[in-house]
Amino acid sequence: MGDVRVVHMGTRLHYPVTITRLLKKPGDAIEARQVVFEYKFNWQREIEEGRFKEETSYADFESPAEGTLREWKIEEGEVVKAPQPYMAIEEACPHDVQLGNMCAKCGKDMTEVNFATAEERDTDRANVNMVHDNVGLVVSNEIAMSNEYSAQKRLLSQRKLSLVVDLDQTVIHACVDRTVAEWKADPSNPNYEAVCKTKAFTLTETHDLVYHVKMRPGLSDFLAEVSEMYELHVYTMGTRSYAENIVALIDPDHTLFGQRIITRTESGSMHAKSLQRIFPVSTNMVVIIDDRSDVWPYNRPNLIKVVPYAFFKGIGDINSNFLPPATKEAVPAALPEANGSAAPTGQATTEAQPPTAPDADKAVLAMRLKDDEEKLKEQAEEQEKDLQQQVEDRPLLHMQEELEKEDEAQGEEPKRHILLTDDDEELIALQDHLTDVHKAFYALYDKRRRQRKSGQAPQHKPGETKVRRPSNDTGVDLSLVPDVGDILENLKQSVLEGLVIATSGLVKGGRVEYSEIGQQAQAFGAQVVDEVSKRITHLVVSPTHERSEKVRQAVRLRSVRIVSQSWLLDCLSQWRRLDESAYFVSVESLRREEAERRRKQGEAGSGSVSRDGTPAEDDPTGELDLGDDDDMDDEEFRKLLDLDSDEDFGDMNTSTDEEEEEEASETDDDRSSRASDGGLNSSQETEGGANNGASTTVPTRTKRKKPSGEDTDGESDRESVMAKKQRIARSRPSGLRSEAVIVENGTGPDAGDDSTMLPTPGTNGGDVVNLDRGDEEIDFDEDELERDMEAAFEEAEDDD
Amino acid sequence: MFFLRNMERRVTLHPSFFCKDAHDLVIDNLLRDVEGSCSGNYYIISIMDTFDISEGRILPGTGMAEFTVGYRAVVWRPFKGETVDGIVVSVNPQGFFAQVGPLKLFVSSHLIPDDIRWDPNATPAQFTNNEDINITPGSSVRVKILGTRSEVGEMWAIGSIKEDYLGALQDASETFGGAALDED
Repeated sequence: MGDVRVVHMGTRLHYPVTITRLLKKPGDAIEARQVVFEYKFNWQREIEEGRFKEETSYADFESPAEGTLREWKIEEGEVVKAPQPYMAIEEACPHDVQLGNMCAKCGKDMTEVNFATAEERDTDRANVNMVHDNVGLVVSNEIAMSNEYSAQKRLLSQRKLSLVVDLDQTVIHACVDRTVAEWKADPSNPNYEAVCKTKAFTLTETHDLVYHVKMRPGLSDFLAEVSEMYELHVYTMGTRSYAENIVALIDPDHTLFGQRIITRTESGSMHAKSLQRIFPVSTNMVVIIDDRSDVWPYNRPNLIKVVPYAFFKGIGDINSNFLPPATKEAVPAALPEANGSAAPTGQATTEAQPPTAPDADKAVLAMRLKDDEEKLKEQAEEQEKDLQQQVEDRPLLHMQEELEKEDEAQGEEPKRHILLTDDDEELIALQDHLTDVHKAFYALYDKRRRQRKSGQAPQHKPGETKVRRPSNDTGVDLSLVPDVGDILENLKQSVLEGLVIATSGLVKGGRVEYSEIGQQAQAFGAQVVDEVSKRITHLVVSPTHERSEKVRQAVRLRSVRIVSQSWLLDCLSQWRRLDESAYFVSVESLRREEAERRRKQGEAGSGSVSRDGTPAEDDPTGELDLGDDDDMDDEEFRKLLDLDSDEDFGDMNTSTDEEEEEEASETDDDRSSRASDGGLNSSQETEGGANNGASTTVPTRTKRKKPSGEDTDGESDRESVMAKKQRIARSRPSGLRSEAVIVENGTGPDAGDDSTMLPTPGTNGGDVVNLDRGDEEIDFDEDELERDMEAAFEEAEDDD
Repeated sequence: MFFLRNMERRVTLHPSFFCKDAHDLVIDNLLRDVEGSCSGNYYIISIMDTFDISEGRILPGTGMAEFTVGYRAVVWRPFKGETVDGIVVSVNPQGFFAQVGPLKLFVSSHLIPDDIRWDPNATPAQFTNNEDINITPGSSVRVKILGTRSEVGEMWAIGSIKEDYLGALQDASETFGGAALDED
């Protein structure tokens, strides 16, 4: 028995060394710290200041390992210039399973360090933690790999995958509010029906608090059916005893989860969950279901995010103290049935969330920091406090009272209000998704196997480093295992593919792309943007932002579908692009208002500014609007068109958006500077000098169009590019801009010098000049455009 | 192995407990603090009696009184090579954990006889030879300790059942015969 270990010389010798004598023969037994060979080396001795003398020293080399010598990799008389392996030794114990720094095979203490072993510590020989319920037990990479491959083989032969299940708010919802017990004991209570299905247990370490647990509707069927396709694991941030109690409720005979339970005690990190903790080698066959995606920073591809189950309204995840604070947008509007009194409950739900919701990024960052004991203690105390508070505050009771109170206030006769409803259907959709994933996985796997059989080489990903071991007996081939993460991605990507989504009121601060909801939408194939432009197909609006500026902008764009946030959430939950018609946000009033406002502004502006005197400064969205307002009669239409530029100018000034205002004045400046340039707008030359005579507009337009520009939206496209350019230009020190203007006039210094003087992140000074010209170009173009528009309009009138 | 051992400990008492029953309180404190604790090398199972409670000395600064108490206690120290009985608490592909009184013990799958294999398909998952032996949580096992390790307040051990007369115990009456007690 025994494993052969090749031992290296290490870096501490005074290279080059000459081997003078080998003291052992292959086959000899070697003890630890026994001298195995002798060597000599030359070195410089400093005799006195600045004078050296070469000397030769002789030394012994001690073996760091014990066992039987297999072979020498060096020979007597050899000069070794650099560290290299010198012998292969057959060890009695490879120390590849260790429990708390003790070899689990031979009982030897692994922390022992001496001169000989200092470079290769025994504790490093096993460092993979792959047992669910113990952190002390570690194994070597080789063992981890062989274990996992045999597990994968087993799953493949059973045609299963692994499923990691979160507990809190994914499959169950727990609370410690004793109101539940009271309601449960009182059949006359309106909530009795919902509450009587809860189960309860107590934990001694939380001072005999009674935990009330509500399983998600259909849970037992779900688990039973899913366990046909998946091997189930529990991964929760609750304590061990909590998890075991919950599992005892949802899996009383331990047939579903067995002992595959991992809790925060064993997780290794207090903030993040990691699949590598249970599957250190390959996560190809693992799917996760969890209501929080931010706790899986490293395993997003494998995650199916579940809509959090909130049965006890206003009570979040009782183990959430150990997780980074939930970002607000991740919380869906879990509004109860829409009777008039829904509002206070909804409010309470949001209020119950942690009041501070810092950046998700920050939380993730904090996750990576090493957790210390103190923090853990702190969090545990915090949790205890929270639980205690829940017991004292009894939020459920309050909410119910509030519900009833509101009714009284409205003078209605008291009726039964049901606070808790049991109408969650998430598990049905979830089961479908899991079935789909399972089907897709094995379809792909079977296809690859057929290909392999028919002689075609399977497609390996480049850079695949895994040890592949084809087995010919069981019809199981690990080398053909597809990555379930890819499959999930493929399934998801097609859902919202091709949609461009902007949001209003869903993300507070920061860019939408990086927000939780944005990332999810992107995972489902949608493109997420911040600004409302003609490119977007959907504007997703939160209930509180139905009259926001973005919605107004979107109303002007006919192609945008304005939907409530539940559309997006439902799409993400059901993995289908749902018909929007049920989710449309009513914008009729806004549309009317918009038209009204437009008309008024038009009237106000008509007298003041003469059309020809004002170079066009129009908002393309305004132009687009022309065709949008169906209910407008011809008269209005004409008026509008006539006053187009002025009105839009006014629009900008009245707009609350500071930037826009700035933009307006900005371009005014430019204009005046240009005026001093000779006032010849139309003969202004573009950078490339492409503008000649009548064909002016055409090349400019095509040049500006984004390469990826959409069908007919030249205007808005240009608008976005232009707006961006202007924004960038605006963000520069104004001195530079004037500098650039001077350049335009032909008197300024070389632009290249400017760029070195004023480094600006993102672009260099050379661009500044271009940008400023771009501004003018744009203005000029607007002018041109307007003339076009006018012509077109006159034509239209003629047609009439 | 169990030992009867004479030991000494300093117990402090808060001034509010200074009364004629102070010595009883000291003993109460001692029992509460010491019994069931692990000193690193051994577990203190039970205090038999106390034989010497010193005069209390007031600690400067705090006003607490400190008593030096001599006591005799039953301690249990697991030794390398000792055979003990335990109850399996969890099993995994690498082996199984058993609880031997207060001591947590791990038996690696390498130290389980070759005919007893890990069977992940069984519910619950278990080590079994597909005949009469199956090791699942709750099974009683007789294990030989191969090594112990201790840290402050905690000890653990690794063991083997790969020898004659070791392994799963068939008869429940065999289990808590106090095999450890009988030794010596």
